[in-house]
Amino acid sequence: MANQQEPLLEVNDLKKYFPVSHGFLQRTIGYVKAVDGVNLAVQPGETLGIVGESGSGKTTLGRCITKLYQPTGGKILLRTDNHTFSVTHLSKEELRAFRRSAQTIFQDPYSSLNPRMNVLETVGEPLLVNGIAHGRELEDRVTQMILQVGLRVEHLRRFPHSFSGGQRQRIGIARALVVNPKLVVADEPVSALDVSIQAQILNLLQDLQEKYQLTYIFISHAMSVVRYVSNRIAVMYAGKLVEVGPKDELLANPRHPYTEVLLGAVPRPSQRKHIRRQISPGEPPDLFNLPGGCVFQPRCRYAADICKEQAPQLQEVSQGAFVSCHLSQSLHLEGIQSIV
Amino acid sequence: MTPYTEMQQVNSPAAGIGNEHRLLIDVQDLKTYFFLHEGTVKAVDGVSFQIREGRSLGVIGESGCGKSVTAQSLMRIVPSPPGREVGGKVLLYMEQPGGQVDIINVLELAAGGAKMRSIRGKHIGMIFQEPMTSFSPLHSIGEQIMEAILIHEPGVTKKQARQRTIEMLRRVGIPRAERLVDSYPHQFSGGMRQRAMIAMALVCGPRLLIGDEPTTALDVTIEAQILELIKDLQDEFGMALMYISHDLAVVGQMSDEIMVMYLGMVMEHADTDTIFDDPLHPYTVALWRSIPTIEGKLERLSPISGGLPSPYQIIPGCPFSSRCERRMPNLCDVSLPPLKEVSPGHKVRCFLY
Repeated sequence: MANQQEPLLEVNDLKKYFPVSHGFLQRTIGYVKAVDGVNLAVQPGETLGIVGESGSGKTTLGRCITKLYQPTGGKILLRTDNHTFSVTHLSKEELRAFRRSAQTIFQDPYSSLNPRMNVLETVGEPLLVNGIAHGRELEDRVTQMILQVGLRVEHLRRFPHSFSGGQRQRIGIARALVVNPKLVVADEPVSALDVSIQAQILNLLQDLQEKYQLTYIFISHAMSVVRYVSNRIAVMYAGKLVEVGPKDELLANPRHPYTEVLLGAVPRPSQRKHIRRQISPGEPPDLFNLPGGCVFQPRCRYAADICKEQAPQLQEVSQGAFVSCHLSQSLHLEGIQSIV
Repeated sequence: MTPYTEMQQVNSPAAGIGNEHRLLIDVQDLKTYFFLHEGTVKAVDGVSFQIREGRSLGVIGESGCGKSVTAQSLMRIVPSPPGREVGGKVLLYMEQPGGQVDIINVLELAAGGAKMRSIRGKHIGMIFQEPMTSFSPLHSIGEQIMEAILIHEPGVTKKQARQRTIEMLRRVGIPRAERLVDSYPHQFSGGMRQRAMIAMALVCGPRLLIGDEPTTALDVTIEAQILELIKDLQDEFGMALMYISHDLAVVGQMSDEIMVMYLGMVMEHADTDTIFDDPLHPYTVALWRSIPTIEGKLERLSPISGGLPSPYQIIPGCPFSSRCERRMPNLCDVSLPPLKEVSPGHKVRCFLY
């Protein structure tokens, strides 16, 4: 297609608040604003990496997108060839179809598989539940899928406990992909794996993306992993999206002070024992008690008065690059040089 | 059986030729096995290294390499049963007031005995990945740190111990220490608990701090703060550091020298720059090529093929041979290569050298 494609996924002003109740009568006394007004667009075939630390909201965002959580506010649109899903309001029929289009790969290969189902049952379940296949055909499709992820036919009748972490993750990937989804949300898919196995799974995910033309949202706290897999990177802090942009540019020339802090904190192979780094003080805020104005302002070394009074909005500052910061135009922030 | 292998009047530093730092720990051929129902796991199978005053040793390896069990053996906290140190020596060089240096083989002490308890905390401190396992949830942080002081330094009053505790908490960056000293562990965030654990480990001034993945569970910006804190404290107290992690970049930041372990054995041991710039062992080289980094050219990762063998499996020859790209048939899968010093300070366990 010669024209600009429409985004596969559009997220508008997404909010997910968790009520906090207190006391004998369980009155709601406030909210944990896990995701607080996020705007995002994901193009077909790309990998959008979402980074952030604890409490950033990245996992909650991922779960809202796949409707594991019902958003508190905002809109999510998923555009497939047949249908555009408005994820926040799906009918029962639409929900089933949606689940065939958007799937999740989970972090923990030990808790995300039912220990009482063997590989055939685990990977076959989505086909069965969605009425896509059963019996002989189901077994054929499952077999094909597990071979694609690097497992073998003899694994079909084995149970999760007899597999290593890396192999279990492969089973989880097979389960997610067996229905041919368009969008896959991978939430920390390699964090629980040994370092030498991570590479196997990352390469597998990339190969499958090419083969099946998948679009990935890759959520991780590990910058180096996100750098490897992503086309674009989105940075989250305290429920807000603070910066989004093409990977290389964001890493080399971050535009948000928090991105600068995050990049500065990543341990680098070039920094040996004698090198001291500039470390930002403080901790992520309490999501129940967010500061006024910009959420990052209490930790921000550049904070000005306006930052305490007014929350900034996400704005496009160059082609495909968005920042949410009052001062970003005037700041010269330090990133990571890719060629050492 | 006497707990002391040797007790010497040593007037000069117990140091090797050309080493300006005094020897603190000398681990010789340590073997720690776990005797389980399913079989015997040789978690540490012949590991040797030295740690000198003020120096940092980084230990890298993946699951099952034995790095944690090595540290636990040094502290004699290996769960026993089913684990047990079955061979080797762990010689601790302890400087006494008056200049003499006692040498004790920690393996010959009773793990739960008074002498070992006084070594733990006073001579060697340890911090772990999950701070909650170090602290009792039923007592305040302050009480627990004070307890460490009172146990190891009889003659210190409770008031003095409390004061020292508050100062130590301040030193590790806990705000309003004089108030938070009475808080309970669950009231602290992960980063604060880790700081409190460091305070507890250091409050009696140990000569060696062992960190077993202390920052793995922390956010990266908090991790950066803790790593800088450990480095500052190391400089301030002149402590030695043994830093264990699977994260190569972190270990590189914290260590003067690095030991690479695989399945209970040392595969390579050299100074940090060498491990990063000129590694020799195929496992080290393969590790580097398989991890995504934040800097440097972005190339397709080369995973290490295969997986870790079962811990009960007895592997003839080199433990890495089944996954090694440069394995030599009929040699590597049959005989175990010795750990050889191929250049000053650089040891490799591989028949290629």
